[in-house]
Amino acid sequence: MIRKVGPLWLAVFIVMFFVSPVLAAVSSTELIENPQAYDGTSIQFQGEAIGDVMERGAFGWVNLHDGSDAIGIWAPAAELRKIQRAGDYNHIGDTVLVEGVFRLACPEHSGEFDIHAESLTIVERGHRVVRPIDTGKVVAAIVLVPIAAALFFAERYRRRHLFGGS
Amino acid sequence: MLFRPRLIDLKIIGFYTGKLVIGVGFLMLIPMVVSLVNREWGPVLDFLIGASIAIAAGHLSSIWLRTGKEMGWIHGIMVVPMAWLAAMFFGAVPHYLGGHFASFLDAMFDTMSGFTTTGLTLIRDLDHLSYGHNFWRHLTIFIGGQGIVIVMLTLMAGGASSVWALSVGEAREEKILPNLIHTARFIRRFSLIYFIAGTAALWLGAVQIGISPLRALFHAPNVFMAAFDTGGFTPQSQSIVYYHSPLFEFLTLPLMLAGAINFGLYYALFSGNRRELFKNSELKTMTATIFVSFTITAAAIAAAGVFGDTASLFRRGFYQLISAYTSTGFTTVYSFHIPDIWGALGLLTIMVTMGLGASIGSTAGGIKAYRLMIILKAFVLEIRRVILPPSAVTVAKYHHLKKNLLTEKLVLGAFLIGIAYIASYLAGAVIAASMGYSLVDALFQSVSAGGNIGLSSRIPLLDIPSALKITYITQMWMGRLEFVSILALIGFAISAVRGK
Repeated sequence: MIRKVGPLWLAVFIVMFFVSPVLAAVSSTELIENPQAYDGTSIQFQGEAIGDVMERGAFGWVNLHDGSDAIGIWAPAAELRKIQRAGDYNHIGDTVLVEGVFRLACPEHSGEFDIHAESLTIVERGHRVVRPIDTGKVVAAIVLVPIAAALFFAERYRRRHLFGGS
Repeated sequence: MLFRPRLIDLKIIGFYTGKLVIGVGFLMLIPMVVSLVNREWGPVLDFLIGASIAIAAGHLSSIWLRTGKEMGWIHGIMVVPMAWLAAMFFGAVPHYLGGHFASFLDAMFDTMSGFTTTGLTLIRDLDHLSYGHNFWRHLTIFIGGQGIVIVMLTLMAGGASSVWALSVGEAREEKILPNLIHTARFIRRFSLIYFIAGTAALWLGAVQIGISPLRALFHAPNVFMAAFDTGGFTPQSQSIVYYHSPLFEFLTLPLMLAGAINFGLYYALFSGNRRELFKNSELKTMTATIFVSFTITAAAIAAAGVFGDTASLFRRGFYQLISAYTSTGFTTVYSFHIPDIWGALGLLTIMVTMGLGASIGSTAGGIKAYRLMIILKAFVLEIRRVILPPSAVTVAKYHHLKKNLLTEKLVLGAFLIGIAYIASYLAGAVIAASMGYSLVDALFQSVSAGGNIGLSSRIPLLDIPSALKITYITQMWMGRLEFVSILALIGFAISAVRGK
């Protein structure tokens, strides 16, 4: 039995050994600094969905930011609809893992630096960012606004009454 | 002999600088409203504090420095560079309070970059910036593009006799109409029409490419201000790459070109003088420059073998070239692309195009096509003088709103400003290279800063030393004001120390 299963395990090990480095998640820095090495290959890329999910018919675009840079992902609209939240001031966007073909100058999209996603997985759901109001800023505003207003109106009063102008 | 400026001169300069600071303070209330509408309470406070500081400081200086004396020519020239520095300082306060800058110097860098319509940025995590702060970044471009000092002081003074000096100081001395106040009003009205039309077109474009109508309201005015005023900031960190859209690129391309054309030419066209479009020597120079540089860029890109079709060549090559030439700084390729992929010839062409710049009397930076045309005509004239017999009378003419004779004064002026720009480009490059950056990258970044372009090389701006940030701030400031008023300010400072 062991003799029969052994070669199978060996084959699986060999496939994993050669394939897994190609499919390991690549960073945006690596793609930007060394694009030729990955051009036309299948890669994994993970990042936060930012800004807008832009559906265009059966496909669409989303930009994923991995902390260093953002890369454009072209994916089927059905896959893009898995993204519920894109990052902005009030939100951290969904963290998305895509697997697809990277292109340094995509022939389908007039030379775009992009990834054509074959699959899209939500690794972590985004959330609303709670931004507590800074008390120091409130105090500063309470002090500064009346000073600025007083100086402004004093100047207006002076110009009207001393010069009769506006 | 140098004459030491009197205390009253300093007071007049300080008084009018204070007036401008008040104006900057009031302008901060616009992004505050944007934040209020979007319920961004932290940014509301940032703008309230920033506006209060600017308004209070401006009023205090105008109370303290009030003299009752009118501003003279020399004061007008001095007020401009001082006012730009003051605008940078006070404009940076809400940026710094927003927490997206590592230091106040970084915030000032961005504000100067905005006001000078450069587009280089040191902001961190732009994709999570508030709507209000993002609007302020783009508004600084719009204000700077129109000429902050002229806009403010013509609005406030309503007709100061020394506005002419201010416009010279701000490199906006070309009179479209006989009265400079009317000229400023024409530019404002004209820009407003463009703003409405351009924003509407970009909004429709944004909706068309899958952005929600509400979010499109955020993208459209910001991108318009950055395109038309050739500023180059964008609401998201990937510049125009973010939109992945030929339609959006197609919409921004004419806006960049429109902003880089002399406003005087528009006035001529609106007045029914359509022939000017075909006669204008500066416009011909611009067209020739674009044609030649695109031919070279296209050859370089073709040789690199990156893009396989014409659409790619136009969306990446032509767009990038127009962005560089108009000094906008929008990009449809990642910053490494030009130095690493397009090859030395492509890089050199983009660099030279950035350094040359588009039209005077526009929002574009660089040496300008007008000066290039004057210098080229002077060369041709000189060659003709050598070839023809000494008794022959040789003159050169050019068409710029009317027929003009090429004079020695014009040629000298064009040469001097051209040399000043080249000196700025080289000085910035030497400083960056001395800090360990490659000479090519250092030169590219220096031309980008000194020509108020905004494209980046491989130099990681977020990590550069403070001394280099100050160098780029100085280059942006000098390039935007075209050196004259800043050199005059230096002379003024020397007189204050050494004069009698």
